[in-house]
Amino acid sequence: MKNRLRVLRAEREWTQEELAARLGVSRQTVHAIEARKYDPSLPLAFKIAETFERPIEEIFEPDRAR
Amino acid sequence: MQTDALESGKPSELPLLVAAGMLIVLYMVVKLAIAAGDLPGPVRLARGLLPATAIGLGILAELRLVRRLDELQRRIQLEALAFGYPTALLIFVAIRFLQADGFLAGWELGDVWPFIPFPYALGLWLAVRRYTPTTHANDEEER
Repeated sequence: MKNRLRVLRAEREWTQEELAARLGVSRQTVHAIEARKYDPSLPLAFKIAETFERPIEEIFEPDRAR
Repeated sequence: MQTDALESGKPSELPLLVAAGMLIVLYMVVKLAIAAGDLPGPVRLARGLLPATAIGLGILAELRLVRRLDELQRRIQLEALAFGYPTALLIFVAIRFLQADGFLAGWELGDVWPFIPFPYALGLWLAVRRYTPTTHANDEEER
């Protein structure tokens, strides 16, 4: 699944560590989501959307080619 | 949400690895103690159960660790266990059948038990590797 996490984080000038703390996950998890190595659960995806104050579909996009 | 589990600090696999090390050490100590000579019944009972304390500590350490992990880290642990447990069984079954066919005659299955954490450690390494992005992948993402 594609996502704009890295871009949104950069806009707010947050480090991965800062975003991880806001989400209550490890930096490893933020890093893996940004690099598309891991797709977050629905609750975590909603928490990300809430943190960035954006609708979930503006952050995550299905990878239709898969 | 389950991610609140991380609030109490960064989870560490150290207690689990310490328990694994304890198991190996206690197993060797008990083997030597048994070979050293006979003792009264209650002491022999305690001696025989000594390695089990390390296994008990290992179970507690694993449960405590898993409860403090976030969703990706839990997946990593699940994959480590999914690899480690069947691999340990595979090793036992292979040794057992090889022995039945006349190979590895000097081996005792009991001597293999303390090394059971190694397939788990290998599974953990493989799972961490799978979910840890490479520098190359990061570069591609930033383009």
